[in-house]
Amino acid sequence: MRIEIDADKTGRMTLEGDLTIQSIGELRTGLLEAMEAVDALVIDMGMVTGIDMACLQLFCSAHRTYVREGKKLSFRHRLADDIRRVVETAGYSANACGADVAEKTCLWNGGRD
Amino acid sequence: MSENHRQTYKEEAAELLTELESSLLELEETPDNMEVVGRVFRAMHTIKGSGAMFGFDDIAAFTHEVETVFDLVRNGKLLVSKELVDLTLRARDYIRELLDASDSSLKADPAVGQEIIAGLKRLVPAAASTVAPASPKAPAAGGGDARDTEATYRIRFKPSPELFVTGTNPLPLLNELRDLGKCHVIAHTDTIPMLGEIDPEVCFTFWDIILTTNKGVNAIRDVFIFVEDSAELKIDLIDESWGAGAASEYKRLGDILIERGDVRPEDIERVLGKQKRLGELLVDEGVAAQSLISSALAEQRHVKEVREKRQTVESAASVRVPSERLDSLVNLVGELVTVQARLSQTSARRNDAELVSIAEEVERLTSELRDKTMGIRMLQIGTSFSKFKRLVRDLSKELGKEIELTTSGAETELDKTVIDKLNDPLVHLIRNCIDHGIELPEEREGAGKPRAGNVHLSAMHSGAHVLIDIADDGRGLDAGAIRAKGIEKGLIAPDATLSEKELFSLILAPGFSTAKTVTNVSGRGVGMDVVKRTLDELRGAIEISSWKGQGSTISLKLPLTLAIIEGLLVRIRDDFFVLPLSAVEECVELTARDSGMAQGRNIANVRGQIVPYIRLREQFTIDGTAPEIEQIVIVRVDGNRVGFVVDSVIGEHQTVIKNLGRAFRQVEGISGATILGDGTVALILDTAHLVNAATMQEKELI
Repeated sequence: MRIEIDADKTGRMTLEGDLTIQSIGELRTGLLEAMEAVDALVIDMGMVTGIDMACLQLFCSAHRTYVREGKKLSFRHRLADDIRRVVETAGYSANACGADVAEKTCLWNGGRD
Repeated sequence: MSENHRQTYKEEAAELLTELESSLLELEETPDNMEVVGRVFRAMHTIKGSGAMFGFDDIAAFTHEVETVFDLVRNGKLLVSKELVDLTLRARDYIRELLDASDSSLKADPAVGQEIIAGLKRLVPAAASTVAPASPKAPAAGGGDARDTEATYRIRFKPSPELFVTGTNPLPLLNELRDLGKCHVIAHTDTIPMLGEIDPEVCFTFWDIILTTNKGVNAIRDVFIFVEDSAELKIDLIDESWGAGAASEYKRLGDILIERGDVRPEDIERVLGKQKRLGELLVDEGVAAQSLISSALAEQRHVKEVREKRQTVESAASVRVPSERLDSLVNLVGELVTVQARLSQTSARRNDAELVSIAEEVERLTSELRDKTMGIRMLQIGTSFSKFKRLVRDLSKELGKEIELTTSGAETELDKTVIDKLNDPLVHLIRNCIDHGIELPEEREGAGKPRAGNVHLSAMHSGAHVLIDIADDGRGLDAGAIRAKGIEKGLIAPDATLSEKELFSLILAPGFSTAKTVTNVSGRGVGMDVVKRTLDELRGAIEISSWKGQGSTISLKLPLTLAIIEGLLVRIRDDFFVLPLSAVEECVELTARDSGMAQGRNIANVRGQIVPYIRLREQFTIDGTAPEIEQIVIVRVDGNRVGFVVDSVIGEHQTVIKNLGRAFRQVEGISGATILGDGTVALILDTAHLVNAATMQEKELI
């Protein structure tokens, strides 16, 4: 995991490999720490090869938290097909979770920067 | 059970058997295609199920045995082999026999059935056979088989918080559900705590799944069998295919939420007072979380889609109508067309604008009605193509040849009557290809051809006609042998010069066969002239081309329908005649001077070519003198150009064919009649017969 923060308080988090429950603590800490420093965080999932349900849940939590704090959280690119398939299978994309009721955004729907 | 129902079952079973046959043949080519295995299984399952329902117990019992074997195939416990396909094809024939035997004194031989079942049982490996009796599915009585009816379920799956830690991955569970049928999965994420508070290893998510399946509720429970104890699982039946689901309207959002227990009815009532979308209001009010609303909306959408789909399936379903009823409909439409033509003529004569506009309206509707009615009788020729697959398979096996039948244009539509009548000629022609055309595998290899011969059956539209080609890549016709035989049979003079086409058409003559030995497949010389006769009856034409050593092609040209003819309307004095337009090549003038120059012989010089003609006025002994300028309608008859002399040509005329009365059936040269707009009758000319009659007369004169 690598986090870069620009002068305009835009951060970029680059993730790689399989995102699983094994490394979830680290991911949570990273997301929390970044939130303190940025207005908007863009997550680069380009090098991510897999994701499990626990991490999906964590991303959802992060998105809601960012929105509550008035910050933005999004993915840099359109998610790779493999990752998208997991999101869809898990039923996460079918739902506007209401984290940002005004804009009706969902991290998983149109997760672009 | 009424006889009517039994009849319907028999018709359906016959169709299913045809389908079964073609699926089996397909399976023979692609033995590991599980989709085809599924089709075979389903066809048998339906034959069995409804057989039991309508009192065909013998069929149900027999089919059950065969189905059991295919159940093993379906579950991957038995491989598709040639023997299996052979036996199943025989089983299919036996079912057919049972079906036929049910209303005749002929009884199917039960020993045959026993033998087939014994054969099938021998194929079942020992290990699998112990499994087989474990599924003694009794023939489904009353159609209560749960697998055939579709229902929609709402599943709420709340896994235990330890789900992730115990290493259970819920994804495969959700995928398994998707395999059961149309499925919507909605994850509820509202209960997920904020990043600061969350224990990321605890599962906070729960799911609503809307699933439409025909597998029954137990299949759903099976999916959750390993997590059942630790999870909260609630399965509700929310929509059934047999229920009062005629409309695609589904429950309103509020009703769904109340039914699920997510929102109290009082809250709905209160919120409804404010005029906003209910979902938004509920979220604004904090009564329900957004995800709950989304999930309920998804359910609404899902059921609506399923119902809409079911509705289209239901409305696309067909109605079975006896063909006699269609025939009488066509007759009535024919009458209507005639009356409409009269109306148009009368209104034009009266010159009444109002009447004319009504007549035009009627004309438009009538022609649409006519086209639609004709369309109903149209069937795809593919249904008869698939029958030939079996014919080719069995025949080539019998003759020790390797032959593959390929088809194209199976979707070409043709009048049902034409298709029915075409069956026998096509059987003859294909038999001929297999028996005379295609060589034995060794012979083919010797000639540098692939071992397996090919018979290609193709159909295509060409205007108001359908062209059907039967092509083989066999040895081709032997022009020399045909010629010798023709001379021997006295069909041609020994010194006659004939084009190849004319020579080939000799094989259509009655009693003509060059095969040295008569096989039970063909070679008796009864085939080809029957083919020719049937085609004449159908107002069709046949053409033969052949290339020595490379194969032959027999082309049939058939009218789309027998009920309507595209004709050229002509007049001689006050009498009207119709010539089939398909045969008409051109019309030229014939002046008294021209005919004088021919010195009494009935021949005309058309652009340097000599065309013999028949004076219809003389042929039909119509009184009066011919006008100064007459018309020759040049028609192609059996490959030759022949003219018919008439007073005047009126024009193209699409008309419904009426049969002549019993007293006039025997009249040669007339194939039918049609009624014109003003009520007069026009006779439809049978050009081939007219030419024959004229040739005979000529010969007698000499």
